[in-house]
Amino acid sequence: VCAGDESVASHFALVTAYEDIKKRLRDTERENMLLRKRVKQLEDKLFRHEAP
Amino acid sequence: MAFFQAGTSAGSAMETSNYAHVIFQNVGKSYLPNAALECHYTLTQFIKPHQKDWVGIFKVGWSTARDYYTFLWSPLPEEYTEGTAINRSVVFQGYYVPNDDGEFYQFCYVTHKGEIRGASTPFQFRANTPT
Repeated sequence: VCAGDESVASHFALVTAYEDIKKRLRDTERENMLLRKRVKQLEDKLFRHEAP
Repeated sequence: MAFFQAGTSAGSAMETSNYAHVIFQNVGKSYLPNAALECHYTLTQFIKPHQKDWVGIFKVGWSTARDYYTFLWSPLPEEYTEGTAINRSVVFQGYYVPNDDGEFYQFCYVTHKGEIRGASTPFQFRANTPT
């Protein structure tokens, strides 16, 4: 195997990992947003009930 | 990315990209540290398996096949007809896999000549979030 092939393979594997982690970041950010929204909803509900 | 466009003009990308001749199946987002890890993969019809081919766990960002964290020889099928796809699996024992170290790893299939013929999506070793 010449060094060039290995360098291309290494790059390919890194791109594979990068693309997947990028997608996971998007999914995690979306979940983070939904959780923030949910916490806000529950807080609103709680404080409404505590009001006289 | 220019890299992906390189081999798509003739036939499928699979036929032209040497790096997708072995496909890793159902790779989790994370695995338990110190627990046996089953790795399933398909040898496509484009690769002729050899008894000295191996599957390694590599830290993402590796630069040569010698950078593996741990490896296992890839078992040869008992009967093999050239030009057919076959499913294989190896089990990495718990004491050989990485700890919960915050790093990302991936499986790679390496031939007896040291050529990389497949790389999996990345995964981490995490104590509390098995998937």
